[in-house]
Amino acid sequence: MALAPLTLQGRGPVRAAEGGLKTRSLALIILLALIAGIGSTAVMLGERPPLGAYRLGPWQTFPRIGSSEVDPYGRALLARGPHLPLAVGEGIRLNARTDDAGEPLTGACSYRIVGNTIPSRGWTLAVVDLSDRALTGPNAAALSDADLVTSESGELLITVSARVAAGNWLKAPRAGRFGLVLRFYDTPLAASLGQLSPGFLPRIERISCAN
Amino acid sequence: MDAPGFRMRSRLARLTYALALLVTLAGIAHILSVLLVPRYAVFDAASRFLAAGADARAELITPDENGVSPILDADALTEVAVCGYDLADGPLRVSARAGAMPLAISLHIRGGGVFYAVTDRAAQRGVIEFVVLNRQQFEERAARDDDGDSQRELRVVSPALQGIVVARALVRQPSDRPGAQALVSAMACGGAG
Repeated sequence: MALAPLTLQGRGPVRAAEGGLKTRSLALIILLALIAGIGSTAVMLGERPPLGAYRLGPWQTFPRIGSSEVDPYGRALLARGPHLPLAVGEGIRLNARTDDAGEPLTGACSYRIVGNTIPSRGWTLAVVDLSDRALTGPNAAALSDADLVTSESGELLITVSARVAAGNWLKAPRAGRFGLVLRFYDTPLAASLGQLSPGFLPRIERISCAN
Repeated sequence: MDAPGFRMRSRLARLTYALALLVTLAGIAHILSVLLVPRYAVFDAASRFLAAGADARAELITPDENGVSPILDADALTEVAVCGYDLADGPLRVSARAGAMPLAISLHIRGGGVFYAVTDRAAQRGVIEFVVLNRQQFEERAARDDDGDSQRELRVVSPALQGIVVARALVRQPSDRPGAQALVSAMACGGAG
């Protein structure tokens, strides 16, 4: 008789207790599911879309974010803050948070941006924080292709460092990690990113770091 | 069957059921929240600037006194002006004059998302011009067309009733900035009848 409450055919009071437990458990499960489901959405909708990344060396781009084929995560990310992404056909935006060796970009080091750029009507290079927002005030740093002094070979060479450098110089923050954003405007290659290799884009080489 | 074994299996079954239910419900909550964010968005660019350009002229987006742009992914070396539209008020005619610096016009819907863009390379006699409509307005206009009328205007069907038109000009040199501001601010966006 002592085993009777443990069976599914338990007596009335036991059944009532099981029913109460089930209701509480179900409510807890629904609450946990809401927290997990909505929480995971908040985590996935960070600064960058979780899907659709295209990587070219240290540069990363999300070509679908500027098209009507944007995935639901990209659309939700756009909805969370005033974003005006470059449309496909308008240009390409590329982000880098590391150098070519995969080491994080940091103000303690100086870098050389060297190599090629893709054909476009103009391009800009800006220093951004880790939220991909342009630095402002005295830390603001951006240059365009028209600002550059080109070498005889025509190859791109920009120094990114906290200290002033000769030639083409882009000011980096004095300390902490940072990112770079490279935007090409009105480029015929916007719709054919899949055919590009990292060699089409400039490399980010570390020159030296302060001790 | 012995009671402890039955109790163990029963608990295991309930735990498995509860976990499966939790994962399933969490997945549904995740998918629904991702899909509903754009629908109820109030911070997206189109919601933010829907009232811009009410006088049929694009409104320049300027940074605040600290130099911070209201646009999260703004390029400091561009100038941007916007017009909001609500196609419930009728089709919208957009026109902008090409200038010395690269200019692009793009259409962004409420909730986030770009569905059309054109650059000044497409300008005819120095002017970029098109009409934004919804599907019903497009079909009504097409039915009214006399032969050849449709070829005189470029028509763009918006997937949403509300959105913004964005004019963006590149500022390659500091001296280009006043011209770029004038260029994007000159974009006209009025009713298309």
